[in-house]
Amino acid sequence: MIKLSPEEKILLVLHRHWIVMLGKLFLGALLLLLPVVIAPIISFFEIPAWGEGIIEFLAVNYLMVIIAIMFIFWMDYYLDVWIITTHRIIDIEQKNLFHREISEFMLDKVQDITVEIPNMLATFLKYGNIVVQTAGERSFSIKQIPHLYKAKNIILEYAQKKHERTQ
Amino acid sequence: MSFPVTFTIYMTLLGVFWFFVGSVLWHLKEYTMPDDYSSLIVKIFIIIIALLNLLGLVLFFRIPLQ
Repeated sequence: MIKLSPEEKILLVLHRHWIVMLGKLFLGALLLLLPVVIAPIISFFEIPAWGEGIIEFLAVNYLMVIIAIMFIFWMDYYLDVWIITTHRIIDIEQKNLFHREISEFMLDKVQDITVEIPNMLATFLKYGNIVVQTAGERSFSIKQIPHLYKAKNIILEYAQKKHERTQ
Repeated sequence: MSFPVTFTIYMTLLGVFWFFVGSVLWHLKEYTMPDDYSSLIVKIFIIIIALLNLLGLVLFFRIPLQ
């Protein structure tokens, strides 16, 4: 869990837009329906009673594994998160089940922000990318997030406050 | 295949499976932000997985093994 300093407050928590998950969910749904498609084909063959038991057992275990894979996909989506606080931006990326990257930068390092809406779907569903250029060499990009302008305005507002305090 | 061998293989695979499910739960417990909607989705996934696991076990014991 992220530790905040006593006077630090969370302003915005951003996850990727739900559309990012849709492709994987669709694939998962297709795989879940596969036994329903295969069952009529199997019924053409003469299978002994014990064989049917084995097929049912395998089908249930197959469904269980597919649901677990969907659970991992959802976790991967859900744990990719950007937290904007009054002091910093924390970028947490869940690469896979055991690989996680956390990077953060202070708001007073922010130099400029670029908002990018990459395609037609992004325009209609109101999501896009934010690239934050910092005083360091590295730039941070936050991809496929909703509430783009809200995030941009909050970052700019608090970055400006930080700059004013340091001057 | 004899019952003890099949049962051991099945239990080993279930152990590996629940290790991965447990890892996901640990990650979610460790890194979830407070006051969000994730616990409901986690509960739904876990209930479905547990029910399918239970059904799988019942079906396993119905397979006529020696």
